[in-house]
Amino acid sequence: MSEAPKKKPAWKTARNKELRKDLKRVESHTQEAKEAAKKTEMLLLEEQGFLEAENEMEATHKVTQEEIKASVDISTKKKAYDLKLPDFGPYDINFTRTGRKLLIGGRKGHVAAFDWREGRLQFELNLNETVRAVQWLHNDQYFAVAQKRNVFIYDHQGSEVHRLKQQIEMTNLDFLPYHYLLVSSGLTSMLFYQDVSIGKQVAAFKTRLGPTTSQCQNPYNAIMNLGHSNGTVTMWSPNVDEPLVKMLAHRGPVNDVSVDRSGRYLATAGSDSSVKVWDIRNTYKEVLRLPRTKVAPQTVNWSDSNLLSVGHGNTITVWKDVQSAPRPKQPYMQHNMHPDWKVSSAQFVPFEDILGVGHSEGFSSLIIPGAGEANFDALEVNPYQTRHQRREEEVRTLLQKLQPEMITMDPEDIGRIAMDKDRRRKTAREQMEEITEPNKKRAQESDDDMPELQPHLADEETAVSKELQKKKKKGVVDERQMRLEQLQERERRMRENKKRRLEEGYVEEYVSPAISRFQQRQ
Amino acid sequence: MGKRSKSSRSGRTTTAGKVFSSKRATSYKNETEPSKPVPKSRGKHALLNAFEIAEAEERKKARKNGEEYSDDSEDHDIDDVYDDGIVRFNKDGTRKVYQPGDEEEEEDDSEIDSDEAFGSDDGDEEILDSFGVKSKAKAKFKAMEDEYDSVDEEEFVDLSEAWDLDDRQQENLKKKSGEKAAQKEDAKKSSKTKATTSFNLQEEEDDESHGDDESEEGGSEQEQDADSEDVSDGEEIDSDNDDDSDDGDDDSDEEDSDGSVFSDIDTEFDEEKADKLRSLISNMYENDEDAEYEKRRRYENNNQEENEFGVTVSKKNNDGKLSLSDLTSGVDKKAAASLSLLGKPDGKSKNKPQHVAVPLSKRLQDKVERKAALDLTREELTKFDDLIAQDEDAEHLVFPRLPVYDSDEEAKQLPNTGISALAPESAMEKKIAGILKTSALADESQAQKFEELATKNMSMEELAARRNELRRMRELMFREEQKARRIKKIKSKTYRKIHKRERERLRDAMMSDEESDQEDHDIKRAQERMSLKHKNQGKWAKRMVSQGLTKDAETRGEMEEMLRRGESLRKKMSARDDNDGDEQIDSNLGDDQFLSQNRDALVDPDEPAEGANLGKGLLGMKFMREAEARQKTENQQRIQELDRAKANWELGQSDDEDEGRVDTANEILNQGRRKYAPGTKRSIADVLAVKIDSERKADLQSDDDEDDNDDRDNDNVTTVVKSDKKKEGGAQDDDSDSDDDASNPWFTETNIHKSNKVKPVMEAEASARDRLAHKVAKHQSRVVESAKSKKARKQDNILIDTSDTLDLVTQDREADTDKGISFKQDMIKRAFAGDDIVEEEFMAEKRQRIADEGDQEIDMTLPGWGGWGGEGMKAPKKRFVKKIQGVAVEKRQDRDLKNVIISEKSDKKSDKYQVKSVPYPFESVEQYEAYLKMPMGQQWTTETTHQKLIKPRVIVKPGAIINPLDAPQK
Repeated sequence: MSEAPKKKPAWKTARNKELRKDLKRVESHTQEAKEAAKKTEMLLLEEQGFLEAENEMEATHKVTQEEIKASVDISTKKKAYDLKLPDFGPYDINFTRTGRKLLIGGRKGHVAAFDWREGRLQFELNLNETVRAVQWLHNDQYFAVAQKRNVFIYDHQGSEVHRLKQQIEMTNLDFLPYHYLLVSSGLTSMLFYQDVSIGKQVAAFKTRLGPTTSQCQNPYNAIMNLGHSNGTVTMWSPNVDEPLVKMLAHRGPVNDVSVDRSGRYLATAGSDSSVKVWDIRNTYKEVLRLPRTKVAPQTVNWSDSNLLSVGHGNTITVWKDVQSAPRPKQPYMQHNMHPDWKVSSAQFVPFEDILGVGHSEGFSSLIIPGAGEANFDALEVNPYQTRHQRREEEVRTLLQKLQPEMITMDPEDIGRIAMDKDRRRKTAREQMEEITEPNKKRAQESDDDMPELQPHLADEETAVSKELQKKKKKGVVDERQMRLEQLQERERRMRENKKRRLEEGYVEEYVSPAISRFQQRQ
Repeated sequence: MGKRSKSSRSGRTTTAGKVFSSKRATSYKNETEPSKPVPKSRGKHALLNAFEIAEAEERKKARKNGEEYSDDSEDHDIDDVYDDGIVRFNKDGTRKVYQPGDEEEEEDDSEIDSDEAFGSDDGDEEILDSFGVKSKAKAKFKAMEDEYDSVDEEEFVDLSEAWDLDDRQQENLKKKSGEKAAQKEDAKKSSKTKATTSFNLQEEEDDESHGDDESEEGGSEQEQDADSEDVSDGEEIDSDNDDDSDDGDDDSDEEDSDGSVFSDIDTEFDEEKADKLRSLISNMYENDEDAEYEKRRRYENNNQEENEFGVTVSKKNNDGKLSLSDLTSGVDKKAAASLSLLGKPDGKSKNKPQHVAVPLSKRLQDKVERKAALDLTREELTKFDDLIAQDEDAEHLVFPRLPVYDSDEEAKQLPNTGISALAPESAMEKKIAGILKTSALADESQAQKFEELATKNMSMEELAARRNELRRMRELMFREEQKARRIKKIKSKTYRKIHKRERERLRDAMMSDEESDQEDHDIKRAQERMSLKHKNQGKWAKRMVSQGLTKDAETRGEMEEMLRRGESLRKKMSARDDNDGDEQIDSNLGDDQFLSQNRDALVDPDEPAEGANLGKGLLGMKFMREAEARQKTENQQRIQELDRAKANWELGQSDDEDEGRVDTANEILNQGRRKYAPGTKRSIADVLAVKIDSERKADLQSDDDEDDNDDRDNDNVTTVVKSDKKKEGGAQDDDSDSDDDASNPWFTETNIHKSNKVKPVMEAEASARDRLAHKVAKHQSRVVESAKSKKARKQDNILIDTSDTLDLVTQDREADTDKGISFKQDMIKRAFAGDDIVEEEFMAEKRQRIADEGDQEIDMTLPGWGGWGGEGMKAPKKRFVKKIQGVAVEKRQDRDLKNVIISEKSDKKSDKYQVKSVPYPFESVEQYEAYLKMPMGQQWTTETTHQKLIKPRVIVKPGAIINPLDAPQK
């Protein structure tokens, strides 16, 4: 909704004085709020420190992790490590929203959660069955695991809390923090929305597009983006049983999808070894595509500072400035792991310059300078949250939980005036009504449901008059009464006519209107 | 309530009457204005009893004293007249004397309206006061005074004659009874009309009464001698006439009114008041004067008949019947003042039937009262209007309210004292304040006083001059202000710039160190100028030149030195004017720029030389040209070298997979040997990348084929590429594609052979790449083409297409790549061979969706109905077709989007979070949305904003007393 720059302010259009005053006040408040918010940017002192080439002979992507580690401070250095877990890989990883806790799930049943910075293990589980995906819920107290058959929810100690028995063979899990919805999709072409605060399944849709190969949320509007094996990407809300948008992105299965923080750009990685960036505001057009990789990319991820990581084979490539057309010639950073370590999942750690990579042999964390959001908003997500604050936040977010119905493509639609609702497609029911309604109307128009006219009787003896009298006693004038009155009038006219004719000496028997047309006219 | 209002009404009428009467009194001095206690008034039993008692007592006294009173009273009255009073007469010849000292009482006595008397059923003084009787009396007195001042001498004569009235009265009466009767009739008629007319008719009345007076004057003296009570209403004349007449009408009137009085009083009789009356009456004759007066009255009335109550009834008037005036005549004046129940004699009601207006019904009365009350209240409430409007406008109301200061000064003073700007607090401040005080410096008022004194001491001229001066200053200030305002409005940028410079200069001048700098400079300049060493126009210099001494080495050296100095000075001057931007630019030069600058230095002089050397003699010579050509080629070489160096730089910096590979390939070529070590990581990666690129190229090509649908039969891939380039659709992917095209060796196989023919010259290639590097942002194809054309123009045989080169390189490489990789590529290619199928499927789906969601037609025809079947029969016409309106193709959101299907299904669940129409009181969507736009949330506004926005409208301080609203004092 881009507005013209020189638009007449709304309050000036108001004719009502009171309204005018109100609007003016509100507008000034809005302006003040904006300005104040703008001023607070001054307080955001931290800056993202990107890697910069000192001279033009240098290239940032040539800087190795070892070199970075050698030059950064100890605490940062400690954050970059490899976790070798060769037995149960490949690993799916997930960080909490605060970036404190890491959850890893090995395909062969190993699930563990730990404070990844301090290396303190929270719990470790061996589920002895396939683990396809792991996902933290609203905080580090609960997490969901997509196992061989069902999705399970565990608590912070690793004890099983729930089994979501309807969700079978899920491969992708995601959590919408503001709506408390756990979204899962998988091999069965089903998409489930599960409200974890009340344990209710909000929606379950058939995508009809075969196995869902990838899934991510749009953090701006909580729309789920699903990648399918036929190369399409679909966008879902829990309120509509068909995809809001369906776009053909790749020529092979979509291995991974990711939407940046602003909700404007979608990155897709296809099995056709291409990575594309799409503008998903209105145009759904490809912004650019990254150079093809030799091995089909498995993961794409946006960082908070709009870096894009692509994992393919044993390589992780990070791209910078890929949200507008001329794509940079070379990546921002590149890291080759051991040739045997195949990347299976990757995620940038919130508020950290770290990229976590889950691979076939465990977990690695890479230092990617400038990847994290430098200025965090503690009211929103606090990386230094204490236990007490976590509890407070849990209550607060539960109280402020958004309803699933509020998920729309444009979040601004909520509260807006739905002026263009009439252009929507009609449902089958509406269409049927449209077909049957004219009949109904016609039925009403005919007088089949009315008492017969009896002009040969006295005025007060006719059925019409009697019914009318009853109606009048009730004292409610309705449509039927009006029609009765009309009939009565007609009756009277007929009676009069008859009387006159009799007086004139014309003898006529009463003929019903059906037969009257056969009468010869004189 | 009813009674009171009644009385107040009557009170009003009397006041009006009074006003009228005072006017009258002044305008007609000569006329006698007799008026009487109003017979209209209704008495009480209490009163009647009182008067009975009083009459009884009076009678006793009269028996005792006999006739002796008359003389005394006469003397006394005359004295009164001449001393200080005015004599007035009651209707039956008794007179009253007004004395300035006790007018009020007397007035009260005479003026209490009978209406009032009846209104106040308990004759308390308080109530009388509340009716404003006293104030009325005062007003009356004033009116009377007016008359009093303007009393004529004649009147006294008349009045003195009046003493003989008693004797002559009977005679006169008898004599003139005939004509009187006639006159009276007229007067009565007029009075009747007057009584009904409002006071607006005052003038008319005046005239009439005047006329009456004249007639009466002419008729008889009696008119003048009669009661001269100055209380005058519109009906005075009537009452005047009544005095003399024995009219039956009058009597009946009296009776009527009396009767009504008594009947009314019966119910309201009060014992207490009766006691009061008794005590009053006992005090009646305490005053000697009063007693004498009474005696005289008695004497006067001697000839009248006595009745059993001892009340003398004036026969002539009332036909022997008792009237209220008879009763009141015996009442002591002072007592009557307090007994205002009796009312003042009111001429108005004397003559005609004076019915008390029928009181309004209770309901109407209440209505009237309510209305009046409403008006009053409304008026009172309007005082609050401003205050309320203010409150309604206010965004927040804080209770209890802040104190409101009556004046501005007060308000100003308060915060001042709070800030303690005036009150010294610290010890030092106090000390200083003390010193100031003692030295009389602190007191501003003194200074002010001094100023005032100064002005006082000034002469008029000085004062005027001073004032003029002040005025002038004010005027100047005003003008300055105006000017500033005007200048402020100027929008011209140049003006601003100039003025800014000026201001800066000024500021610089103001700054001290700058100033010193400037000074230093000036001093130096001055010294230099003084030394005159820089001029060759000096005497010495001129002489040297004229004498030819310049050939002398020493002198010449000096001269030269001088000139140099002059030059440097001039430079300095100009340097001071210029800004020093040039230096900065120089210092900012980087390596890159350095290179290009060098290059420019080589290139630039060439080009003008070509055009310039045509006409010049020496330069046109052959050897010069040759030398120049040599120089040119050298330069060219150097340019190329520099370009290459630069290109290497940029390429080294940009190490994309494609370009990096190209780069290495070039290096290899440059070095003249090829290193293909498949074992090295880099080369493998490169090769792989190349393979994938080629793969992609193929894909894209098929893409393009689909798009165009016409280039399918194009064998030559280059043409396809070119068509791509021509397209330049602006789509970013096209860009990137073609970008890749240029560097994709796998893509243009035909080109490979073509380029094989062309022997690469690396220098030229480097320059081409240089251009490429320069124009990264531009479209690749255009770059290539332009490069081509330029090359064609300039150096026909040495420059080649970049893409060609790249093709060559990759071709070389391809020979070396191992089979496995190419096999893989083949596989990939085969795996995605049917890509267009995917797209075709998608498009089919979209078409289906468009059809499904578009307009629908449903055939409702029943088979077998509406037509005949059988051989040779046409199928019946479809007569029953329903049309269902869907989403038209052109209205679809995805109409312009390829490979995208946007659902047209509405999200019904979110309907509840939307409004269907613009809610009241908003008039448009914009207004509503502007209203909603205000960010209230704590999370996306600042704390202060949030607090401000959620601040309640009404804030009540807990525990504080909230006083009701005070009306603003105006």
